[in-house]
This record gives sequence, C-alpha cells and structure tokens, in this order.
Amino acid sequence: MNDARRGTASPEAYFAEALRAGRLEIQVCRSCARAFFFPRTHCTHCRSQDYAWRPMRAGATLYSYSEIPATPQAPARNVILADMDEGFRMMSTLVGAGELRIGSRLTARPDPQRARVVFEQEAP
Amino acid sequence: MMDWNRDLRGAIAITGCATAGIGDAGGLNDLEIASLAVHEAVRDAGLRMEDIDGLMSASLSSSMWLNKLAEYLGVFPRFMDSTQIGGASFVGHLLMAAAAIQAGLCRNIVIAYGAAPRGGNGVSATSGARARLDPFPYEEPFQPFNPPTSYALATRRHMHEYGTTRQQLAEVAVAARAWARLNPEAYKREPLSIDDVLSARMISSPLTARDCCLVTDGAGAVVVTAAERAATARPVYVLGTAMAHSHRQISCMADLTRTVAGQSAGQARERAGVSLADIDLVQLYDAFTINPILFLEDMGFCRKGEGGAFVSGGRIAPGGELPVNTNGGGLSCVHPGMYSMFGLVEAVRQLRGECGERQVKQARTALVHGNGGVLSAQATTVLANWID
Repeated sequence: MNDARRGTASPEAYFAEALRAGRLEIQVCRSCARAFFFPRTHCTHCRSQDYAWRPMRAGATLYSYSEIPATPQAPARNVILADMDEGFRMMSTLVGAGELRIGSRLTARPDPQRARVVFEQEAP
Repeated sequence: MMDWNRDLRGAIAITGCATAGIGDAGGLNDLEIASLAVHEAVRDAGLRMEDIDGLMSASLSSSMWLNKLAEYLGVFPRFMDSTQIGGASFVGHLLMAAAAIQAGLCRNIVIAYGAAPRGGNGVSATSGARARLDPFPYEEPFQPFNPPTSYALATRRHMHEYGTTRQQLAEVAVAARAWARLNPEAYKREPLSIDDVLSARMISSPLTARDCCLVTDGAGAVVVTAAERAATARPVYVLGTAMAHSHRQISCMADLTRTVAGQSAGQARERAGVSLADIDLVQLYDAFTINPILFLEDMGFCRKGEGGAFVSGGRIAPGGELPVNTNGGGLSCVHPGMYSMFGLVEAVRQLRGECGERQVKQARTALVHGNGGVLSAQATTVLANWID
C-alpha cells in the first residue's frame, strides 16, 4: 500500500474496494498507532499522513439506534451507530435476529454486494 | 484572550424586517416570496432598494443563489456573502455583516431567505439529486431518513443517558403549538396535546411526525445598517454574534447529547456583555423536539440531562417563565428548510413590541439561535432594543 501511504491513492476508493473483495480494513496511523475512520488523507488524532491499512477488529458496542418504518419509497430498516473497540464510530445497520439495545455487543462484517459494513449481534 | 474587536458590539442594528408567503405561498416560488420579503423589509427600514449595497443569503439547491436573487431584485451589491452552514446561516450572517459594515465594505445589507417546498421541491423530494452532487458514502448505504434519523439517534441517546421521556419531548411540540395559536401568521394553529404527539405516525423512532418540524413555504428578510445611522424609530441592536462547527455527519458527532451551541451562545453572550439572566426571550431552532432540550442544556439554562424536566409543565409555553419560540417555531409556525431567519424576525418583532397576543412583556434582550445540518453547525446572536 505504498501508494496509499504516499497519498497518491484515494482512501475512500481503497476502503470500498476492500469491502467489495470481502475484507474489512481500517487506516492505522504509523505515528500515533491509533485507528481512524472515516477513511481520509491524514490521521484524525495526530494529523500524520503516514498510515497503513490493517484488518479491522470486528467488536463493537451499540451507541444509538433508530427504526424507520416502511414507506412506498423504501423498506423498513434500522440505522445504528456502533462504537468500535478500536475507538471509532460507524453508522450501520443491525442485520439478523437481535434486539436493538444501547450497550449491546455487536460484530462487524463486510457486505461486499453493497460495499458497506453491517453488524450482527455478538454470539454469546 | 482578545478575540473580538469590541467596536463590533452593537455596531449594527436591524432596522427593517418582514416575512412573506408563510405557510402556503399559494404557488409563488422561492424568488417571488424572497422578493416580497426583501421589498417589505427595505420599506420597513425607511430605505429605498437603491440604498441596498450588501446582500447575504443562502440556498439549499441553487449554486449561485446570491447572483440569482440580486438579478431578480435588480440590486447591484458591492458586498455579497453566502456563508452556507445550513439552517444556522442567517444568524451567522450577522457576524460577517457586522464586520463588513464596521470595515466600511458597504452600508446597508439585506439578509434574505425564501423557499417554497410545497411546490414540490422539498428537502426529501430533492434529496436524491443532492446525494449525487454531495455524497456521504459512509452513511447513505444505510438509508437514514435524514435529517430526522440523525436527530432520532441523538434523541435515543439522550433518553438512554438521562432518562428523557417521549412525553417530555412532546412538551416541546405542545408549547410551540400554544405559541402558534397566538400567532395569526403560524401555519398550524389547531390544538395539540401530548397524546397527539405520541400517537402521530412514527417517522424515525423515537420521533413521530409531531416531533418533526413542518415543511412549509416561507420567506424572511432583515435589513442591517450601522447602528449610528439607523433611520428607524425602533432599531434592534446586534450586541454580539458567534458561530461554531462540530461535524457534518451525525456519525462524526463526538457525543450526541452535547452540541457546540454552548460554545456559540457563550461567546455571543460574552461579546454582547449579557448574562443568561438578562435574556427575556429565546428563539431556538426547533427542527425536532430534542433540539430545544439540547440547546437549553448546552447554553446553561439548565444542567446537562435536565432539559426534559426543564421544558415540562409549560415553562417554555405562553405564560411560562422562559418564553421560547414565541412565533410557534419550526414545529408549528414555518419551516421551509433553513429556519433561523424566522427566529431573527420574531425576535425583532418582540423587541419592537409588535406581537399582539403573544407579546412578551418588557422584552428588552433576546437570544436567537440557529442550528445547521444535523446538530453540525451552531450560530447564536444577542439582540436588544437598548444599547449602553
């Protein structure tokens, strides 16, 4: 990922391509060693441009949620904010069985078809 | 730290204001109702259109809106600014207007807004087009129904952390409606109960349709000029204005229960030299019922987490101890998409004593707060009918 480190590749495009290939990756700063999201050119903690893409740890905690009823334009769905164990937050949706409850444990997985990250209730 | 030229305090005054097409503009479009409001505001200020040499506005859809509006109005401003921080824009414009006039860049600025979404170009009808031009790739794949879903996420978190209830949220909508019932200009004036709010159609849980602002037509304009040149009998002085940014996307807001309204309001009050106790009435951008709760907490009217209890029992309704959104707000009076212009106009009318049944007694000092995006940008100004 030399191109990405030199700032000549698009972090947004890299993240989406990894997802489409079924890989969950996150930018980790080589300067302060912290992960940051959403993908961008510089570390959001220390502003360094020196980062690497690493496999994302999947563990998260549900921070907040909302349920949107079906309309003629779109199906019913839930929208969540997940606080990742690595210290950043993502918007996503909870798929499969499981109760929407703030504080509950979640696991991230790639959704390659839609180039997005979705969450499931963590296995007990 | 000296961060502000003290000469800016009260340097400008609002000398004219007007609204047009509030609620249902009867088929008039954005430019037409904006033009009606501007002409009336200029007349109200005792000026002619030829005297207008500064123009400020913002639009959600037109990329060169200021030129389009100036062309329509037939004015040729030498100062133009279109700072776009969502619904907070028009309160924020007062900051640049004060600096511009103080610097001699122009003399008489019109700050204007007009939108007629009932004609079919509402925020949701245009969201597809805007998504293509202005993508949010880390939120859009989950189809949040924005803006409501972003505010719903903040609401749910506030309920979780502080025990805020849906009944307390409904109190905000009920108080707004009680004010609207006293305002002949308000769009929604039929009675509204707590149960009506709770049993309304769910939009994005926990927010129902009555927790969400209206989608109406409406235009407003204010004329600002150097305070010492104010030609009107009842100038309203702009004592101090401030703005603050925290994020654009709700997933990037650090703590969904704390906005930067505390920062903008604190700085605006400091610049104005007034304390919270000096504030006689408050206009807060109430896009959703959670907004006034968050802003009252963040500004220090009550402690963090106590906003739900604070707004209950009619405290912010007519006859309550803190008059909030005395026109009925975005929840019951008017909401074309970016509301803060209407908070400004209402505060000016209150400070001039023009508000009839809903007039706040001895209204001397008003705080007007604009919110932009999804709790993203905040702007606050302190207005007064006195200057010392």
